[in-house]
Amino acid sequence: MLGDECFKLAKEAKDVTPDHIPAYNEELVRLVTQESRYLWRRVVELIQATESSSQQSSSGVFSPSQSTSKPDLSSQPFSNDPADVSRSMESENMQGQVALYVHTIERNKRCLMAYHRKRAEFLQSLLWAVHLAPTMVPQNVSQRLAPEEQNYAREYAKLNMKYRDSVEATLCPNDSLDWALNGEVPPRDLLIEVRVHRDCGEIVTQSGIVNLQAGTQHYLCRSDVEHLLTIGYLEHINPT
Amino acid sequence: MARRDYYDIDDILAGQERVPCLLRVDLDGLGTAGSGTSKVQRNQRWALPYWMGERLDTEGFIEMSTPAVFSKRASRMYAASATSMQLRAISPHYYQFGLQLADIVPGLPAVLRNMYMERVQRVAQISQQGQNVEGLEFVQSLDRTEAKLMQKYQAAQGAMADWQHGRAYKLDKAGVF
Repeated sequence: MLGDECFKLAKEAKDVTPDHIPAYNEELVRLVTQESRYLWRRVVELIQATESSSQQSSSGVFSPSQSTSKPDLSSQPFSNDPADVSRSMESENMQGQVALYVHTIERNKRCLMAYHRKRAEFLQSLLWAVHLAPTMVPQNVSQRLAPEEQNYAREYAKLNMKYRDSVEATLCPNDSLDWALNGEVPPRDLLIEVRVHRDCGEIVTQSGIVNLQAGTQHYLCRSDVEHLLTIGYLEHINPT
Repeated sequence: MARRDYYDIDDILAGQERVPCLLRVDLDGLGTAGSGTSKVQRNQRWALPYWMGERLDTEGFIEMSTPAVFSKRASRMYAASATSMQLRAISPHYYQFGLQLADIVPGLPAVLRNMYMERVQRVAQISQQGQNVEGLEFVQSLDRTEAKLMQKYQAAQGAMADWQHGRAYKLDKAGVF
């Protein structure tokens, strides 16, 4: 039935969770857009067919009992002439058909928009998790994104950086603020205990240079290491 | 009437549920891909998805009638034993779909509300008890809206335990990694 394809898209959009995104279904998207374009062409054909047939009957060829120039449903409600009745039925059919196609096109559009919007929202939250560094996105996730979505991710990061560059001088002239920090969990402690899971090399902290080797534990300033925590290189050990 | 978000996926999914309709005109394109013809003649009964039915009904091309799940008889039956109804088997989008139909079917908001109020108490009870074998059957019969609510309840319980053990302020790695 019409509208079944875009329903599949809606179901795929439902599968997008904060932890997981299914692969971009380019095949289905193309199918839905092709169906919409085909239906629109049919709508135009049907309307043109009605207009041309109304012009023909205005010359008086089909029905001599006709008084008006266009076979309008409202102008001849009580006509018993079978030709008129069948013509008005056909015109009703055509109107219904056009309405059906137009509503299907609108439904397709809605499903497409919702699908892409869900994925774009996922991308945005993913980018904030990797601190606006598109290169840190794990391989298995970036494989499932379409090229346009990867481009979107890069452009989003660039846009944020551009904003930061333009207002940094006026908003925080002395300190260097980490603009890519995820602000969801409010900071509680200034210094945190972390255990290193993957080798990060050396990082520059406010108290000097620290060498982060796998398996070691450190007591460091929160703002220095937060970006390594969200991507899993370090683990936060909570004092209970 | 509740405002429906254009981008809401649950709204889109719920709108796909079928309603029985009487066609006033011939319509093409309604059959499935496998059947022979897809043209449906006028004055035939056909089950259309709600999004299609509502639009064509307001324009007069079809006449939509109440689906079986929301009929008076069914509503009375459900209200008699609200907590033992298998909503997921009957209609997984029961509440969402009912909200969409609320303007057309008289008395539907009251029916939905009563069902919801009775069942939601049981949902809260079960999620507070943690792992519970008796409640498993009820949990499997929940509709989508109730299932989401149950997940939120359980997450809230977990958050309480986390806070008590000092895990609330722990920085975690993001879910994708």
